[in-house]
Amino acid sequence: MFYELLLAVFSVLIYPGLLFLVVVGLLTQWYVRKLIGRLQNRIGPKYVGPLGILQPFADVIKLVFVKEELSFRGRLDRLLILFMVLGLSAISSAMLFTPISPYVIRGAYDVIAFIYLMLWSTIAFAVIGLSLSNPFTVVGSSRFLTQILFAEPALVTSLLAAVMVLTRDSPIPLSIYSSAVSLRADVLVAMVLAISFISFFLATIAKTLIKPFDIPEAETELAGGLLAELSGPALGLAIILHYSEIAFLTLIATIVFLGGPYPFNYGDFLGIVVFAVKYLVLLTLIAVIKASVGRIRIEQATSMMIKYVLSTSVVALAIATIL
Amino acid sequence: MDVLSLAVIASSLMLLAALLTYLSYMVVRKGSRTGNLSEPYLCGESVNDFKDSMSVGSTNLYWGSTSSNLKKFYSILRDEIHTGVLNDWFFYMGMWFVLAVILSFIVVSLGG
Repeated sequence: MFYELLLAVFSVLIYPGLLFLVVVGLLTQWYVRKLIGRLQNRIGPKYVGPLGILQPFADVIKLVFVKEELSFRGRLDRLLILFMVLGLSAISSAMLFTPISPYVIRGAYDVIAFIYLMLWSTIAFAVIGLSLSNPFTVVGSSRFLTQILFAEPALVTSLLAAVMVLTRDSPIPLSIYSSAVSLRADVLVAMVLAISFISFFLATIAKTLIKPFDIPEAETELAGGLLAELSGPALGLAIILHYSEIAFLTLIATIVFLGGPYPFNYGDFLGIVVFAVKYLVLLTLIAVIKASVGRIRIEQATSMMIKYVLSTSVVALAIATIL
Repeated sequence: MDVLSLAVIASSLMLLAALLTYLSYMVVRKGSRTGNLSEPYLCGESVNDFKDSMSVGSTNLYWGSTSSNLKKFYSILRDEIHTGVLNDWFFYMGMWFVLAVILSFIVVSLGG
């Protein structure tokens, strides 16, 4: 019992929880920045660490320890910090549902608890904008809520469709763990996974404010939008939350939709290599999209969400239910 | 593991991680420089009644969807269904409640 408790605490705080997500999130930031730099004929991060790999860490350390945090009357400081911390800890806890965790939380219908934990970071970003009492941040938050009104249901529906189709023969139905370990060569399963993956991936891009869906933080019109008023340690925490969320959703896409280390097993050396390659392929796709498209307007984003992303995920869920 | 104990374990681990992150953030922040608490200003003038002028009404938060994507749906809701009479609101909400009760009876009687 004591050993199990210790393992649970280790899993949520170190691996694959908090520390792991923060480190992977910042490395993800480096990879995306470097790749976009190369795509745009720039060098990208260079000075800190080999190939500039430690640049995101240096940026966050500078924000936390060196930079000044400015505050003003009417700002809800504690509320926004509380929600950012809750968002970060919720995705850390959600990582325990996956097979890469030493302490696995699994059971029938655990996908519902997983989705609940996944929503916290979205709420955190909405609260950041609303608690700063600045027109730019509030408009950013309003745009974020509008965008997320269609992106979040698409994300949840596509995840549900994939988990449903993967666990249809499993003794533990609708479980993230079972869906991650029960991928097999089946044409129908592959079809549903492909459709729901497209929807999940596009919804991830919209949820994590990557171009062309960076409307809530549009620098040129909203001066940074949601994050306009943040500085010092609070901005550092917001950056950590943002990139940890990108890393978390990309890891979930790799584990559930791409089969994780498939055709190898979790824990094998080759399995780890295959897993890392799949993760990097997804990040490369994100970087290429980010580097090659411009920002669209909010109503274009929402109609695109309804027409292509939400409808695709509903189709995937319908097929998964029929199967 | 059943869903209830699973949710309790996941939530308590989440709260543990949140508590530790919050405490470490507070410790780190104590050592860092914090700027003076300043008054909000607009075009060089101080703004005193900022609490009303700097927040956006909750009805405007979803303007993107209400003004363009779901315009037809909202205009029907606002102009035709909404009358401003409280009894109508109770009837409308009661209608959905009755529908939910009927649906749950059907599902339970079918053995779901």
